[in-house]
Amino acid sequence: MKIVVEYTAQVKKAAGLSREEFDINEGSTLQELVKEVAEHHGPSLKSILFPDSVDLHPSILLFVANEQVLWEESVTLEPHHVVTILSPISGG
Amino acid sequence: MSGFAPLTDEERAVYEWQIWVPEFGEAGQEKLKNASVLVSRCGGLGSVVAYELAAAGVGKLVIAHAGNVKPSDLNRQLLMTHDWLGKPRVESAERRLKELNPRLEIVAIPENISEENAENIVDQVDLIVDCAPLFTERYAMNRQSVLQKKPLIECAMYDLEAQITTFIPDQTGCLSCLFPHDPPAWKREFPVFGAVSGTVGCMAAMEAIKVLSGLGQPLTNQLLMFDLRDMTFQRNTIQRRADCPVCGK
Repeated sequence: MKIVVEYTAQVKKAAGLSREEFDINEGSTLQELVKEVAEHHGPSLKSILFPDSVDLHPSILLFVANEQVLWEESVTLEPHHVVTILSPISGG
Repeated sequence: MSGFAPLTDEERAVYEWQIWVPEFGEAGQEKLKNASVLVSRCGGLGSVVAYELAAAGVGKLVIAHAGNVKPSDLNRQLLMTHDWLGKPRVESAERRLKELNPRLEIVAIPENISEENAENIVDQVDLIVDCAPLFTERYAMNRQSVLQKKPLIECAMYDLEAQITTFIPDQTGCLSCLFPHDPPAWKREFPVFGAVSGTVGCMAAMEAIKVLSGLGQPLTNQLLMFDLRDMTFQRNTIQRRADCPVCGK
């Protein structure tokens, strides 16, 4: 099934685009998708998402269908889902 | 502020158009007059927040910002002017705010917020608008927001994107729920247009007005994010973390 993934701020910069589609297996989880996204884009994005190589950095936010999902929560993706990976930003 | 000051005839005339706003009226304007807000810092975001709050008739602004005006401030820091290059930012900001609203009480602090000064500065206000670039400053304000039970409006920008949310102690989570640790890729200097900081700065000022006056529905438990590159706006639900070291029970 195809899932749309959207990126913001530095995550978007590292991915090189603002949104793309991933073709994943039925029953895939959000965590599996995010790991696949990191692998697909290589070190520039992987170092932001998984600085310790295992867990998502806690200040990178995930949204599925406009609802925040914490990394430790298990969510099975469905075909209509849009996943957003948000990088924190600040003032200045 | 001690006591409750009613509106003068001059203030009724100046704020007439917003007093016409349904569910705001003279009662809402009086609440703004008797309210105090911390804006830290007064850069691209904070300049616009402070300017809009001064224009709207908030009675007292505490503005905190260290350093002197630099040429690279001038594309977005609308309270800074060419004739003030090399002079303290906070003086430029105070001068411009007083030009707009001579009735405004201003406390101008030539420092950025830190763990050392946050408690005393937050103690002087009813509400905080966080416009700071560094997460250490933001976490210091957030901690005092929770401890002193003062609403905290968080706004941020990058490139043509922006994010904004409103935290109200005991009703929402806090900044540490949203971003538990310093983000890995954040740098103090980054690409941005003044029109982007101006857009989200106006939104933050409106959030402050709403929270202070009771008007409308503040952006609580939600993060509004938008990208002016393609004019997409998203409102996402955000979570409170039960194990948050700052606001968790």
